[in-house]
Amino acid sequence: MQPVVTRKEYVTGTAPSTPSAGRTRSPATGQGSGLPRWVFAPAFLGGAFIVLPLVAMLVRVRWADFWGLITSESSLAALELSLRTCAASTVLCVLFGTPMALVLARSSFPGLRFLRSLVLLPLVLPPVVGGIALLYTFGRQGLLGHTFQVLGIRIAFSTAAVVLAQTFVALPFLVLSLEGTLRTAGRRYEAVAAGLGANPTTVLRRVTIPLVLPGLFSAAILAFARALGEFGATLTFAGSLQGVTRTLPLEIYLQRESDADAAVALSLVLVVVAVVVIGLARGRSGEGAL
Amino acid sequence: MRTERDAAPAGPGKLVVDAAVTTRGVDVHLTVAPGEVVAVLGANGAGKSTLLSLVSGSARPDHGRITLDGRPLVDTATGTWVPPHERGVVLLAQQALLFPHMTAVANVAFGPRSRGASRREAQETALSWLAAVDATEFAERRPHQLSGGQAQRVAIARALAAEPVLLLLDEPMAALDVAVAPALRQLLRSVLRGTGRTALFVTHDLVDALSLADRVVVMEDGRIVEDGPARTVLAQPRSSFAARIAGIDLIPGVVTEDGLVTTDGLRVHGQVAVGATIGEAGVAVFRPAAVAVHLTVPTGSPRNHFPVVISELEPRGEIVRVRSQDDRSGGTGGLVADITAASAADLELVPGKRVHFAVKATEVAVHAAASQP
Repeated sequence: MQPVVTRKEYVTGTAPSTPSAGRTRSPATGQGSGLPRWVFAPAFLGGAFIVLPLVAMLVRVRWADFWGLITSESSLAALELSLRTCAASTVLCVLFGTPMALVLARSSFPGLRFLRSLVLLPLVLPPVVGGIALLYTFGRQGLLGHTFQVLGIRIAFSTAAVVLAQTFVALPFLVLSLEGTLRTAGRRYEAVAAGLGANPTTVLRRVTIPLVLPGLFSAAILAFARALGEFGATLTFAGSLQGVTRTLPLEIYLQRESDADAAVALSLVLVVVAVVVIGLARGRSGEGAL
Repeated sequence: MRTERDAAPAGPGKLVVDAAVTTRGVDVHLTVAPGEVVAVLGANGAGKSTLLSLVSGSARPDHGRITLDGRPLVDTATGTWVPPHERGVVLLAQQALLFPHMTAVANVAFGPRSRGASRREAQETALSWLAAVDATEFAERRPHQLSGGQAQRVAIARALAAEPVLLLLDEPMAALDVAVAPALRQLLRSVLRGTGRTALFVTHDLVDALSLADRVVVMEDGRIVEDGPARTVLAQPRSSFAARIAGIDLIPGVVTEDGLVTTDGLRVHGQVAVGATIGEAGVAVFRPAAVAVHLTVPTGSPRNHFPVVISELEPRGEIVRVRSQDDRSGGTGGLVADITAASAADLELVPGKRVHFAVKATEVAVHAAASQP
């Protein structure tokens, strides 16, 4: 129950265009909605609260310098790093999150519910705490750090650490979203397939996965979006090294100190990416898929 | 391919069920002979679907054993459990449940593909089965482009293409339009009757049981309370459920152009239903309330009249059920008429009296029957 609420909050946060878009699409909302009129007032205030800051930011953008600011060396490096690491962490989320969602949605064993709440912990954990936890797992002094050191692999404060931090926070989003899709899809088709003689692997490959593919797509988009905005865990676990670990959110935070105009310009880039991502997810799987 | 199967005598498919699910109060003992078609009747919650689930492997018995051709599918004593995909049992349900992301032909090819056929072999098998159910034109369509009846046709092809040893049917026509049901019933009839395939099917429909099944079992409270040839169970119901859904008059015989002729040569006039073939086994069905009782040979519009001897009179409120003596010939014996108490008094009906039962031809439906009388 609780994580679902979290997910909705998250969507509202990353889809600032949603309320206004909804209003333009159905202008007759006030008529025959069955809602008391006064509900529209707080709803409007809430919508304004989300849209207004974005408008304020847009107003603050200095369009004359805009292109120069977002194509500076450090900006481009941050943007490229962000897209690369987010793509990698999304792939990791799909590879590990899909089996996790399958286990959660389709199997039953003692302790499954407990396991489920553990897996979803990063949803409610402050990202900084996640970063600390990762540091004490993969860092030099960490749980697995020594093992990796013997193998000659250093993870903390590398690009790999960025990917791990993003995967850590984004994985529950994919798992939760896909688990919901799997439960909604039900097992009827799987039972039919098994009856026709298909072994479990064939059922998974030819029936289960194709049926939830649109859901998997929007879950991956969700994970990508979450990874793109990741800040706290990245800063704690990976640091802020230009071209290596300094992703777009970190670059924005850094620029804000020295060059506010650059920070605003880069923020706008992130907003545009977020809008495109949400648009993609919606276009593929219809209204309300996220 | 189908002709080969048509020619084959009763093949494999002997099913023995001795299983109980205590939580649902189900305890079933049932044997189905190879090639036999058994209808399972019963009220909602009587355990019919549980029985199918136990055989298909979507439910486990608390204790007991189910074997198919001697191979245990489940045996709680030895801990044997054969997963559904290795059972050779296919369930055809109320909904067609075609895989929505595949075309009709890919749906039908799914079974052969899963059993290791090459893409091409599976495609050929699928096309031949689609042709067998008269659905070739839908081959490239997606399930959402098919009507309920068309989808169910494809589902039948898909079930048969998987070459099940045992076919389970769970009211496969219940969700269909009344208009398409007769054609599908005919198809199921040719599939079940023509191929010597063992089948167990759950139904609410008397006509299905009569026209498709060799044998009828009636379930009540998780147990089988009646078991016998379809006509016996339906004409002389002993359980309350069979009596409620049955309680009808049945005359077996051979289908003719305008009705049916019994082994005694008695002609029954009626409406020949879709699926009944002239010269083949059929059964004339009518409601006891449609039967009028006459003391002499009736004249006038009713085209059917049968001389009978009254065996008993059952008062049922305003109605009296007049039961005729059962000569056990399988002909007109044991017929029942429902008349008002006033008429019964006027006619001075008593057991042993000779009367004539009359019924209009429009009240008589002639259906195909599962076996020769």
